[in-house]
Amino acid sequence: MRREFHWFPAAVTGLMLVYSLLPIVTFTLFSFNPTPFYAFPLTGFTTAWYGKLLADGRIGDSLLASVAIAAAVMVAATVIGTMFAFFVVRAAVPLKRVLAGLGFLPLVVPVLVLAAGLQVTFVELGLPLGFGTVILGHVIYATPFVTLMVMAPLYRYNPVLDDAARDLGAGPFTTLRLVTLPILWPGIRSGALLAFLLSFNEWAIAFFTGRGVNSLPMLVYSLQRNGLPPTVLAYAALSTAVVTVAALAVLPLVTRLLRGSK
Amino acid sequence: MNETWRSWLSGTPWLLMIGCFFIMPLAGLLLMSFSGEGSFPSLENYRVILGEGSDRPVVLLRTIGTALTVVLLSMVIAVPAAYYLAKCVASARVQAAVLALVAVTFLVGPLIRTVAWRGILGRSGLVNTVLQGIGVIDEPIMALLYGRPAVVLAMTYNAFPFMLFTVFLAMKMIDDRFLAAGRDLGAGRAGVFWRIVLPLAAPGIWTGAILVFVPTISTVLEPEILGGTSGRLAATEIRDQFFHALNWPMGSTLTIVLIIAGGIAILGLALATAALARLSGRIGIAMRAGSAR
Repeated sequence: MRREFHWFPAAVTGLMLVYSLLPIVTFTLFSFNPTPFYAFPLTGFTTAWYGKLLADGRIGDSLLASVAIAAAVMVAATVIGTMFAFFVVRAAVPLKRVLAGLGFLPLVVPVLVLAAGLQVTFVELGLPLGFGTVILGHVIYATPFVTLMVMAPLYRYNPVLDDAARDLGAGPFTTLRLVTLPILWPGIRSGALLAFLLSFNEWAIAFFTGRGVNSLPMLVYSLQRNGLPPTVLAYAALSTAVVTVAALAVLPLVTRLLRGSK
Repeated sequence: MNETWRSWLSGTPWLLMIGCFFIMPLAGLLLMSFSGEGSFPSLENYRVILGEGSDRPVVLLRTIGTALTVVLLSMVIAVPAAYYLAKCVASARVQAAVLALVAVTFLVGPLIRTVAWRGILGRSGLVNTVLQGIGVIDEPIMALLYGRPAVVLAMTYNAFPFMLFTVFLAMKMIDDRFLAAGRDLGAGRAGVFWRIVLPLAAPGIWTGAILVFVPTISTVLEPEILGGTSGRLAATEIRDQFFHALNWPMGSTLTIVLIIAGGIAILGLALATAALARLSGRIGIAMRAGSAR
């Protein structure tokens, strides 16, 4: 098809990028501003807030808590979600469509509802609200996203490859380990990354089901109530940088997928 | 290892978890919503919420209305942008770069994304400073921050990427030859968009609408951080019942009512979309009949 210039969608795309970037650029700018308010004017340049951020013990503790939770969620959601992707794509069992649909239900139920329901259930069951309950809640929240990410390459996967491996003498487990999973790996890796970030940023479930768990979103939430110290802006800018690096790592993969889907 | 056994092995862990920590919590909320002052199965809470003199129905309608506005705005942003990226830009690298840029800002997380608007809309924020700087206004506009517009702006900001990604994928899957055929048969750019691209991308737009709507009806952060004293939304009330009033049955009832209201709104959206699709089909036929003459 001849590609022609469309001024209207081009303009909307440009505005969308401005809309997406403006808040990010703004807080990054103010994280270097000496005045301790998130407001103009910009009065100079300082990295003092970053120093304060790194020296603040609370932030270190929260970071550790958040990373621990997100890492546990990532491992559990990736394993369970990948298995469920196999179920959705390959299983031949009665009522599969219903069961598969059931598995994606968390995508269409608001997180707040899940959070409130989990709190009620955990308390009724007598489970102490803490790290374990937050991890459990985040796994429920993040797993369907992993399944979606793995389903795409699994649908494209040619089952002949499995047959070939078996003909060459590999058992089912060896086939899975040496043939199937390596081919699905890009999808699994993106799913794992997404699960980590979803958990790392999640606030409502942690708020409802985590007594005494001070994850980073919980800390930022309590800090912004009292006038938003610039250390939070510094934290926001730093976490943006981390996400950017992670995105650069998967960018070639996305490009390849987009080329492949033509 | 036979096939059936392996099928169950792959599905069981997640289905068990869904049963224990998803279905059961929802059932728990439902049960708790029926516990009133006296006897167990009681509709007392529902009567309090929906009965006379309660402002809850207004809050509920406001919540649904706000969420539908956010869905509409997300469509206005995401559909043209997805069309441009999927069908007007040839380079996969540019497509991936733009999507990645949006994804990066998205993955910074709703909390920071929401707080960030304070520095833009505030009294000495970016907008006021720029407008004063170029002399458009003398006094800062106070109404920018802490009100419904700021809440809707931030909610849209936090949710529209869902729409962008799903619509982009849907449009990406449309065969370019359909568009070329449309052009060859005499349709203009707009005709190709309205009569070929949009109907074929409709499932993606629909998925995006649900993925935007669902988190938006339940979000607490935007109204709390940017809402000021503008009308309360249902999610805030639910949070307050659980954490301030410590009235769990009432909180549960509000949650159930919110789910039902959201379900009705989605159903209404589906009917409206179907009607619109039928209408645009008719217009399409009418246009064809007109041009044949």
